[in-house]
Amino acid sequence: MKKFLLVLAILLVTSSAFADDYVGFLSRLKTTPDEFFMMMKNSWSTGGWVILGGDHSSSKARFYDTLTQMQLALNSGEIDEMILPDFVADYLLKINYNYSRCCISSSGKMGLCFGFMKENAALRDKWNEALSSMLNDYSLIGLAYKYVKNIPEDESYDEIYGINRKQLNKEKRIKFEHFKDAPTVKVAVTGDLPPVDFIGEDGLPAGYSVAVLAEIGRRLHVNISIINVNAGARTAALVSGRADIVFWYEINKSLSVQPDVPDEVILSMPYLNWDKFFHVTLSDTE
Amino acid sequence: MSEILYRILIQGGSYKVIFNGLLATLRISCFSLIIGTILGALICMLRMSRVKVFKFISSVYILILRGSPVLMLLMLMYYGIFARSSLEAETIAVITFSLNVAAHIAELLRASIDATDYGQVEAARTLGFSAWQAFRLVTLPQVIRIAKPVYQSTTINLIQWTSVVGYVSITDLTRVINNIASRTMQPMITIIIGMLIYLGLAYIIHGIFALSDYLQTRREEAA
Repeated sequence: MKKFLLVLAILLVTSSAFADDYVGFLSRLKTTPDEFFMMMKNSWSTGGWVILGGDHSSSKARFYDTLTQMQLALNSGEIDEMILPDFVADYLLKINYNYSRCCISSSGKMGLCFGFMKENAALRDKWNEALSSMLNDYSLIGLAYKYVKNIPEDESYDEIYGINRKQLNKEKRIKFEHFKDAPTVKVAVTGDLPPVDFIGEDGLPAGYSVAVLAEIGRRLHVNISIINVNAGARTAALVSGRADIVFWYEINKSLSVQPDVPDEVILSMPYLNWDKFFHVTLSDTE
Repeated sequence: MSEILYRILIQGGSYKVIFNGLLATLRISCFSLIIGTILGALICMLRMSRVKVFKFISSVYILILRGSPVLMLLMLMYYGIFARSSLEAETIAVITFSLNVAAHIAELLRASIDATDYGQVEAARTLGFSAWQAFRLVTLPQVIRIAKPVYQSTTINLIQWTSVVGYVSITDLTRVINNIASRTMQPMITIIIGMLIYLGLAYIIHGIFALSDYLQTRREEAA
């Protein structure tokens, strides 16, 4: 028995000493974690993947359906880093001090898009028109500043910066206009990608994407009805017709094959662009 | 810590959202249990009938429903069979969970009936009881006593199974907890709070069954 325990202990120690480094990504629908990581690294040759700090040559990747699951994996030591779009990481670092940023990488221009079924191309075109007009009159940038960039730090700093949080929350509350006898477009949100897509304290959808949707609805004179589904059911909601539109799908403009977009899905133009990933790790792992 | 708890539970009326999620979980569980029990009893009757076709159909039903994950069935119902219907997501969830739990209850009832002594029914019949009277007065009280503990765990299981309804756009307790975890970026504490609420529910169910046991014993002692 003693021998058995000794062997077990040695095995455990050696396995943890030679364990691979793992990084976590949000799930992409059309690829495996390692393929995706390799794809991102390879895009370096086209001027994409650049990394500042940290050696990732032997790192392996894991996928997580939600940010919550990825955070739990990081806390438990299952992964060493979470690789997140900069705006998501920014939000995380501002409201949870247990994490810090260890490095920055880039693999070319990325974008967040609304997803439609192929047969719904007419709706997609209308959506693109509205998005283009919002881009041209700077309202898209205005919303991005309001909902993505302008996130206040933890409440303890409110007095120093003179932030009135109640007022701020009131200003950020999203109102959907209702048009009589207008068609209704059903949109599925996951609530898993703050500050772009989350469910607010009042239980209602909030964030940048929802604000963009409300504005598009206003411009196209359509009613928007939002359903909240788990990230894993996004495509099922779209294919079954339970939702006409799903956000989000992510595109990487430097890749010819999009790892997050199913074949039957067509995309709107991106309504949020970024080109940096922040690598987030636990604050005390030094 | 207290600040984090405040942010998770209270800020901006968060507790109301959690309460609404809890209500959704309870609504789905209660209706599914009631419908599932009635349906389960019917299926058990078919399963134990002498007509071979009924026996075959009910066996296949139990085999399929007990053997498949309830999430798959739920997705199939919501995104497939009822995709074009105007039925509410919660109604579809109740239908799905009723169908699933009925299969479990049918088997549970059959096992309980098998565990009773058929000789007692025969004795009752020779004493002039009708078949229904023999079942109601001799078999049924024993079946209830045997089935009760398993029925209790089936009820608690059902409440836990409902935690997958977030896949079909229902904001139940689990979905609310996940939403709060995403918003506050504090998954560990939020999930522990969610678990405690589910644990509380399980203990309430346990309490209800314990109370009914206690009342039954008192009634028997009085008689």
